[in-house]
Amino acid sequence: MQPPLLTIDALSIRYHKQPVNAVHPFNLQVIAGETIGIVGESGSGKSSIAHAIMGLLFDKATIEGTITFDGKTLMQPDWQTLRWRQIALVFQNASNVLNPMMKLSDQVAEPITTHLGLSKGRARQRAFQLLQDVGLDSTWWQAYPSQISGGMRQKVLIAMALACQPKLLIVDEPTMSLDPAAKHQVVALIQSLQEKYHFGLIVISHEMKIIQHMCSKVYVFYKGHHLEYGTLNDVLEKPRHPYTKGLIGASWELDAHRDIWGIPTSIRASAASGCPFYERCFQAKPACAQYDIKPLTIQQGHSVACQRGGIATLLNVQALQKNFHIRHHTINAVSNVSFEVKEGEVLAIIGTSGSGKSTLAHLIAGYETKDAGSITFENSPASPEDLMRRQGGLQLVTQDPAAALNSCWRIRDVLNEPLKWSLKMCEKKRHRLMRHVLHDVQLPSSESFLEKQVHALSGGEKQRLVLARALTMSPKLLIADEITAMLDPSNAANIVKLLKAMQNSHGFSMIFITHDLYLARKIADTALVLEHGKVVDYGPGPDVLTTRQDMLHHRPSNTLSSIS
Amino acid sequence: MKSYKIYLAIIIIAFAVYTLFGGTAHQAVSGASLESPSLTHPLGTDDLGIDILAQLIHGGGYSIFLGIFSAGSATFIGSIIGIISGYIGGKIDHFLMAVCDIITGMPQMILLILLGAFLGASYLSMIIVLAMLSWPQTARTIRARVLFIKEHDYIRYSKQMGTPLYAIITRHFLPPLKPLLTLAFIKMMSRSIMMEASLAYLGLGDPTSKSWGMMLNKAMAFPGIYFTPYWKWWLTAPLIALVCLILSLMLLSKEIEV
Amino acid sequence: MWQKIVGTLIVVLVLNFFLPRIMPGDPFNFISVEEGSVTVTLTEDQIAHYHAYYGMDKPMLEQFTTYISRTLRGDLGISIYYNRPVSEMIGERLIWTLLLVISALGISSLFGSALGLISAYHARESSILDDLLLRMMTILSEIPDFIIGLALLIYFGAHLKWFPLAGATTAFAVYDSAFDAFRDYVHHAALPCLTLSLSSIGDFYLLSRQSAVSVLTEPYILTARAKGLRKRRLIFHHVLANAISPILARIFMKMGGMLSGAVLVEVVFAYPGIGKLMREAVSMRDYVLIQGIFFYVAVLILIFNTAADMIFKKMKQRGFHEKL
Repeated sequence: MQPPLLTIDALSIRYHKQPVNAVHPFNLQVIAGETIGIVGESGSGKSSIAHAIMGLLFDKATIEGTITFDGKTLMQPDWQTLRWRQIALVFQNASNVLNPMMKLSDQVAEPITTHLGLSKGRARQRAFQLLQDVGLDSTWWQAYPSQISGGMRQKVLIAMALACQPKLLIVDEPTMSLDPAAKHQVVALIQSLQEKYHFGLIVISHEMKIIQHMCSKVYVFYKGHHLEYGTLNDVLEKPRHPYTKGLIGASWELDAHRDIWGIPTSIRASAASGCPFYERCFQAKPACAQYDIKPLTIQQGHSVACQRGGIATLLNVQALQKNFHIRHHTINAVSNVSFEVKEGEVLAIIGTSGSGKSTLAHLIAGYETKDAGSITFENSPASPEDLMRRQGGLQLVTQDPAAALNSCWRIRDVLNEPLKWSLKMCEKKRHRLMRHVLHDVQLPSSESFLEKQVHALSGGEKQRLVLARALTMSPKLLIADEITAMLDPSNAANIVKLLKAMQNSHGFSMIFITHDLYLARKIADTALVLEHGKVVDYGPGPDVLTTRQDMLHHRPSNTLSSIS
Repeated sequence: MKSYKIYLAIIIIAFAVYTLFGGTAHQAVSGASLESPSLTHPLGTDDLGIDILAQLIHGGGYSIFLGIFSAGSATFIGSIIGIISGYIGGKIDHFLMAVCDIITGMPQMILLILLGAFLGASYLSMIIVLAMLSWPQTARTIRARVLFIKEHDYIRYSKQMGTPLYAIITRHFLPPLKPLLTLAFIKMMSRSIMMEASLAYLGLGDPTSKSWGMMLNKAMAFPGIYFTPYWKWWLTAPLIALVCLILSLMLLSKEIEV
Repeated sequence: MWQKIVGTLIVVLVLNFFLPRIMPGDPFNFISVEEGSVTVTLTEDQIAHYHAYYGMDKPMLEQFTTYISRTLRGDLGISIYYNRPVSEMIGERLIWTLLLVISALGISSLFGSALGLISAYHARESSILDDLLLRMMTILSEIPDFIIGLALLIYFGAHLKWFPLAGATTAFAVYDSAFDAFRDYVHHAALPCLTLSLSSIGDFYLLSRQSAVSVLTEPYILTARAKGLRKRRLIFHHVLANAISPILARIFMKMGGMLSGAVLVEVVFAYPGIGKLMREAVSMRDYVLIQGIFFYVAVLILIFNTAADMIFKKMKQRGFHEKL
C-alpha cells in the first residue's frame, strides 16, 4: 500500500480565548493522487482544519496532535519551507481574497519567485502557462481582480495554488456562489489538473454534489467533531450517522424528484455535554447526553461516532403472514413480508388497491392479528398494544378520518382519549399537550375549538385532528395509510407537506402507504412494492421508484391499445 | 305542547291524583246499574253500578305503567344482549341471535294466552312475560347498530390504546344508541299496552284490575250489548281512550324518529 | 335455517310439556275464570283425568318421552271438555281461520301494495293524495285489530245491521243452491275479513311505498325514463319488478301476526275459527286443547316464516340490500 502523503493524528484546534475546541481531536489520511472530502454545515470547523494543515493558525490558536507530511512529523518551523511549495490551498472564493491592487498574473507569479527562486520574467511566463492551464482567457491575465467574474477568480485562485506544483492541494468551497455551468467547469478543471500533476486533494465543501463528483472518501464534520468517515458510496448510499443522512436529505442536487428538508435546528433541549448532535438528532436517547463521542468502526473503512452505533433499526418485520378465509377460499392478504424501518426513515409501501398494504399496516398496529411472523421494535419483540399505548411507540393514521373519529365527540374528547387512558396524564398536563399538538398540526388551539364537535370539521381538518391525536403519543413510528385518499388534491398536498414537515422536525420514522408513485418519490427514503400480498421490490427509494417507472404509465397505455 | 303529549300527561296526572287521594270509585258500587251519563257519573255506570269514568282513570294509569315497566325492562335486557351480541360476536352472538329468532318466530299472542291460562295473570307476571317476549326486537336493532359502529376505526383505535371497556361502551356506543333505545322503548310500550288490552279483552287479564281491556271484556260479555244503548258509553269510552293512547304513542315515536 | 326450525320446535315442545307441570300448587285446583257470569270449576273427575293424561304419577323423564312420541305421532290428546281428539277439532276449525286469514292477506297485500305504489309515484311532488294515504295507513297500522273489529261490529253490524253479528253461517240454514251457501259464507266472513285486512293493509302499504320510493330513486329508473318509456311500462317493468320481492316475503312473514290477530277478531265476531276455539278452551280451562292449538299454530307459523326466509335468501343472492 502506498505510504500516506498526509497523516493527521488526534489534531485539535482551540482558538485563543475560546472556551471550547473549534475542532476536536480527529484523524485523517491522504494518499498521493487521492481525493478526500470534508463535509459539514457552516461552522463545522472545516476551514479551521484547512488552515491548520497550512500551518496558519499558530499565532491565534492552540494546536495539539501531530501532522505528518511525506513521512515527516511537522513542527511549527517546518511550514516555512512546506507552505505553498508542498501544500497549497485554494482559498474560499470571496471578493477580497485577491489583492485588488495587483495584476492577476503577478499574484500567481509571486509564490513562484518566492519558493522556486525563479526570475520575475520566468515566473511570469510560468504564471501565464498556469493561467492558460486553468482556462482563463489571455485577455484577463493582466487584469485586476475587480475586473473579473467570480468564476474567473476561482480559476485564478486555482492557478495560484498550483504555482509551485504542490503535492497536496486543499480546496476550500471551490464552487461556492458559482452558477451551475461554472461549477461544472471548476470541478472538471481540478480533476484534469489532478490527473496531470497527481497531487493529493482535500475538498472542503458543504455541497454533496461536489463531494460526490470529486472524492473517493468522505469525512463528515459537525461543530468541530468528526462524526462519520467512509468511502463515497458508503457515506452517500448508506449513511450511518443521522447528521450525514440529514445533510443528504437537504441536498436537492442529489435527487431531482425528492422533496428537500433541512436538518431541524432543534428537536429537544441541548445537552451540556455528550454528543454534540444530541439536540438535533432523531434517534437520541437519554444516554446520548452523557456520551463522549468517538469513532466506532462499523465495517472496513466506515466509521461513525454515535452512541447508538449509527442509525438504528426501529422496526423489524420478519416473514409476516395473514390469510383471510372467505367461504371456501383463502386469500393471502400478506404473505411472507419482511422489511425494516430505520430511525428517521420514511419507508413508502406502494401497491395497488387489494395488494395487502392496508392489511400490513393493520397487522403492525394490531388492528388485525397476524397469522405468523415476528415484529421487533427497537430490537425487542413487542406487542402492538404496548407499542400503541406508550409514548415513543407507534401510531397509525388510517385512510378515512371520518371513520377514525367518533363524530359525536368533541375535539377535546378525541385528544383526551390517549392521554387519559394510555398515558394516565393529569388534567392540566393533558390540556397543555392538547393545545400543543393542535398547534403542531396547524389547527386552532382555542378553548372554543376544543369544544367543537368532530362532525363540524372538514375532511382535511379531521385528518389533521387524527394526526394530532397520533402526535399526543410522540410516536417513534407513524404509519400513514393512504391518508390522502379521501381528500381533494389541495388538502392532500397540505396534509402530506405537514406530515413530512412534522416527521422532519419531530424526528419520527414513517411508513407511508400509498398507491401513488409520484407521491412516494417525493418523500420516501426507502420503498417497498407490494403485489398480491408479496414483496416484489424493496430497496432505496430512488432505485425502486425508477425501476418501477412502468407502474406510472402501465395502465393507461394498456387501455389505449385495447381500444385501438 | 302537542295535543298527544297533553293527552298522555292527563292520563298520568289523573291516575296519580286519583290514586294519591285513595280513589276507590273504580271498584266500589256508587250508583244504580247501567246509569246513563249524568253529573255524578259523567260516563255513566256499568252493570254493577260502578262509575265508568273512575274505571277509565284507573285503567289508564294501569295501562301506561304496565307499558313503561315492561318496555323498560325489555329495553334494558334487549340493549344489554344486543351490545354483548354485537360487540363480542362469535359463538355467543350466534346463540343469542338464535334465541331471538325463536322468540320472534313464536305466535306471540297465542303464547301469551297459553302462559296466561297456565300461570294466571298478575300485574307482575304480565310485565315479565311481555318483557321476555319483546326484548328480541330491541336486541336485534341494537346489535345491528353496534356491529355498524364496531367497524369504525375509532373503536379499534380505542381498544388498541387501552381505553377500558366501560368507557368504550359509555362513550362510543351508548350515545348513538340512545335515540334508538328511546324509539324502541315507546314502540314496545305501545305494543305492550295493546297486548295487555287484547289479553284482558279475552278475559285473561289480571282479574283484580280494571284495565281498559278488562272494561271492554266486561262490556262485550253483557248479553245483547248491541241492542241496548249502553254500548254508547260503556263500550265506546274505553275504546276511544285506548285508541287515543296508542295513536299518541305513535305520534310521539314519529316525532323522535325524525 | 334448520337450526331455527329445530330450535323453535324444541322450545314449543318443552314449553308445552313443562307449563302444566310447573304451575303453582296443584294446577288443576286452579280456578279463577270470571267468564262474565260463568265460573268454571273443575270437577274431581276432571282433575283425575288431567293427572292421568299428564302422567303426573310417573317419573319426569318417562312423562317427557311419552309426551314427545305422542306429539310426533300427531296425537295431541283428547279435549277434556268436548271429549274429542284435539287434532280433529283443530282441523275442523282451522279451515275457517285459514279462509279468513288467507283472504284477508290477499286483500290487504293487493290493495296495500297498490296504494303504496300509487303513493310512492306521487310522493316526489308532495301530493295531497300521498300525504293523506300515508297518514291514514300509519294510523290503521297502529290500531289493534280487535278494536277495529269492535268498531266495525258496532257500526255495520249493530247500528246499520248490514252484517250478521256472529257466526260463520246462518244457524239452521238450508241453502237452495251452492251460490246461496257461498253468499252466506261471504256475508258472515265479510266483517272479520275486512277487520283483518284493514289492520294489516297499513303494513303492506308502508312497505311497498318505502320500497317503491327507494326503487324510484335508483339510477336505472332515470335510465328507463331517459329511454322515453311509457308510464305503464315504467311502473310495471321497472318499479314493480324491483319493489315486489320484499312485499312477497312480507306476505309470508305477516302470516304469523295475522293468525294471532285472527284469534281476537274471531272472538269479536264469534267466528268459529281456531281463535274462537282457543277462547272457548281458555274459558273452560281445557288445557289439552290450549296446548294443541299452540302447537298447531306455532308449526304453521314456522312453515310460513321459513318460506319468508327462503324468499329473503333468494333476494340476497340477487343482490338486494338488507335494509328490509
